[in-house]
Amino acid sequence: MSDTTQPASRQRKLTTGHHTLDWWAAGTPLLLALFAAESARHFDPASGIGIFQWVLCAALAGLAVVIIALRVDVTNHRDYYGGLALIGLALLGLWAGSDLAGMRGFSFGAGTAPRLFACGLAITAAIVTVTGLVTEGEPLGKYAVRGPFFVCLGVTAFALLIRGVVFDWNGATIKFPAFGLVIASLATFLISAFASRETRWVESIITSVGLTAFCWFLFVWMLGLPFQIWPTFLLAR
Amino acid sequence: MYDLFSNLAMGFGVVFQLAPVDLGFAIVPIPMNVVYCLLGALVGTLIGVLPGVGSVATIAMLLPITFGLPPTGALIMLAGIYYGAQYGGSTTSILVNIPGEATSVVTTLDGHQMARQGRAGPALSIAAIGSFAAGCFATILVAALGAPLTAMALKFGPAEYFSLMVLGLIFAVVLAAGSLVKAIAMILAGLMMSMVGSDLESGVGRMTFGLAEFADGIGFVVVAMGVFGFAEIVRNLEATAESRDILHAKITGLMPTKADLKASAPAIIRGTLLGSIIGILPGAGAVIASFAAYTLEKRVSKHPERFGKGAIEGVAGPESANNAAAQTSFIPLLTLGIPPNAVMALMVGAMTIHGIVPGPQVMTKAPDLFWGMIASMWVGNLMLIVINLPLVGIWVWLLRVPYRLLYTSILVFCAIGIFSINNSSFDVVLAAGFGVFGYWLIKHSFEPAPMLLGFVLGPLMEENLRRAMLIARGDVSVFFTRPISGGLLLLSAVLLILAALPALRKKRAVLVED
Repeated sequence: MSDTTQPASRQRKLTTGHHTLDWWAAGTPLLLALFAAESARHFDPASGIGIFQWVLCAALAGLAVVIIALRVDVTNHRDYYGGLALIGLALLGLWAGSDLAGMRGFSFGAGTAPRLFACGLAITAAIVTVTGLVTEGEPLGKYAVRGPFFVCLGVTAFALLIRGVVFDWNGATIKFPAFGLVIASLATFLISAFASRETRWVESIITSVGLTAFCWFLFVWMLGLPFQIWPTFLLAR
Repeated sequence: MYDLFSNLAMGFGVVFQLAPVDLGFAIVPIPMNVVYCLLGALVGTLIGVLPGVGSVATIAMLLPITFGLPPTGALIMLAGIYYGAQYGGSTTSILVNIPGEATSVVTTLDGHQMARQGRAGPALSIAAIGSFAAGCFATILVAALGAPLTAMALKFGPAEYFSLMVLGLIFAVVLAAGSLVKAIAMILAGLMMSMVGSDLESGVGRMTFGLAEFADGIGFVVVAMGVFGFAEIVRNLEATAESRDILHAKITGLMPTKADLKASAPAIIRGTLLGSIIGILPGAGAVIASFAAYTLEKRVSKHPERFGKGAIEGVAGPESANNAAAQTSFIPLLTLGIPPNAVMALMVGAMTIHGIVPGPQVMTKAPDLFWGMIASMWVGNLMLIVINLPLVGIWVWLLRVPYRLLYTSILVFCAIGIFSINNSSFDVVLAAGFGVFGYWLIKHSFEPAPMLLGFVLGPLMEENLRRAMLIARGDVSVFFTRPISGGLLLLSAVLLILAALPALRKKRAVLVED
C-alpha cells in the first residue's frame, strides 16, 4: 500500500526560462490539438460539443506554444503525461462516437451519455495535466520492456492458437488454424516464461506439461467446457 | 426479529440442503452448498496466502469454473473466495512478513513482530478468532439490514438510483489512495469505456470502430483481468527476486493466553464495528477498514508505543475489521444492486452470468439464493477457523512455490478463463491490451480500482439518468428537488469538499499511506 502511493506532491512555482526546450512536453499537446481538431470537424461548430472541442483544441495548442515560448520545465512527469494521455483517451471516445445521435428535445440520444462522460474526462484530465506543471512529483519510473512484451505475446499466442483466427484485410485473407487447448496452454506458459530473468527451463517445461494436464482435467473433463483439445487439422491427415 | 430468524433458518436450510450426487459407485446425498462453500474458502485462503495473486483477479479467473454450477452454489463459492482471502492474507503477514493481500498489510506491523518473539501461534489464533467474531457479527448485520434496505430500495426511482451511484463513486474517490482529481479522472475513464457497445434504446453500435467484436461492449472480466491480473504480474516481474525469510521455527502453542484474550477482546469489538460500517459504505472495502482499525487501535491505546513491536491489539483490530468489511460490502450489492468495490463488481458479473439481476428484487424473487448466501457466510467462517489453524504448515510450504512458475501458471489460467466466457479470442487480446494500460496506470500513479467501479456502474448510471430525465421532461432540477435524491447528492458534495479541504487531505493521506 505505502509503496504504491506517492507522497503528497509539493507545491512549487512554475519554473520557466533558462531551461532547455523539452520537445516531448511541447510535442504531445500539439499532437493532441491536431487530434482534437480532427475530432471537432465532425460536429456542428455552433453546438455545445463542437465549441467544447474547439476550445480544447485551442487550449492544447496554447499549452504547446507556452511550453515552447517560455521553456517551461515539466516537474511532475507522472501527472503531466498521465493527464495528456487521458485527454487523448477522451478525444478518442469523442472521435469514435461522433456518428451518434445527440439530444432530441429532452430525450437522450445514443451519443449523449458517452459524450457527457468523455467531456468530463477531458476536463478532469486537463486539471491533472496542469497539476503536472505546478507541482513537483516523483520522476517517471523506467518502463520494463521484457516483462510486458512477453506477457502480451504469450497471451496473444493463446488467442491465436486456441480457436483459429481468420484475418480479412482488404480482401486478402489469412487463415490461422486452430491448434487447440494443449498447444495453446503450453505455448502461453513457455512464451511468458521469457518474461522473467529467473526462469529455469527444465523446471518450466515440466511445470508447463503438468499445468496443461491439470487444465485439461479441470476445464474439459470436470467442467465439460467445449474446447478443441488437439490440432485436429494436423491429425486429420 | 422473528422474521430475521425465520429467514436465517431458511438460509441455513438452503446451505445444508442435501443433493443426490452420483459418485460413480453409488448415489449419495451430499450437502453440495457446504462443499462449494468449503471449496471457495479454501481457494480464497490459498490466494490470500500467495502474494501477487489478488482476489479480484482470482474471482475473475474462476468465473468460468462456476458456469456449470447452480447459481446459489456458484455465488456461495465466489463469496467464500473473497472472505477466505482475508483469512489467508493474515497468515503470511504474520509468519513471513509478506502480506498476501492488500487487506493484511497492516497485520505485518505487529503480527510479524509477535512471530519473531516466538508468539506466532497466539497471533495466528487471535487473527482467526477476531475474523470469526467479525464474521458472525457481519452475517447477522447483513441479514438484519437486508430486509429494511430492500424495502427502502423499492421506493427508489431512477433519480434516486442515479444519485446513489454518484454517492458510491464519490466514496470511491474519497477513499482511493493518492490524488482526488486523478481518482475522478479514472472513474470518468471507466464510465466512458463502459459506453462502448450497443445502445440499449436504439441498438446502434457506439464507439465500436466498426468492429463487430465491440458490438456487445467490453466485458468487465476483460478489464478486470487486464488491469488487475496482467498489470500486477508485469509489475511484480519488475521487482527483483525478493528474499522470503520464511520462519522456520516450529509454531508451538496456538492458544493465546488469558492476558492476550483480555487485551484483544475490545480490539476485536472495535475492529468489527468499524469494519462493518466501512464495508457498507460504497467505494471503500476491506483495505481501508484494516488501515482505519489499526489507526483507531493506536489512538485509543494507553501505550501506543507498543504498536509495531508486537502489540496483539494491532493484529486483532485490523483482522476483525477487514473480515467484517469484506462481508458487509455485500449489503449494497444484495439490497440495492450497486457494487461498492471491485470484487463486488465482479459478483454482479457472476450474478448476471447466472441470470440473476442484482438489486432489491433478488430477495423477493430468489429468497433461497439471498438467504442461502448470507447463511453460507457464517458456515464458511466457521469452516475457515476449523480448517486454517491446522493447515498453517501447508500454507507456509506453498509460499515456497517460486514466482517464476506461479505467474506463468496464472497467465494460462487467466487466458483460458477469459476465452471461455464468450469463446472469443478477441477478448483475450483485448485483456492483454488492458494489461498494458494497467501497467501504464501504475507508472503514472493512477488507481485502477475506481476505473473498474465506474466501468461497472456506467450502463446502470446511463439508464437511470436517461429515465429520470425523460420522466422529468428534461428538467435537471429533479435530482435536487426530490428529497432522497437531493440528500444523496448533498452528501456526495459535502464528502468531496471535506476530502478536498487541506486539513482533512493530510489526514486522509496519513490514513491511506500510514
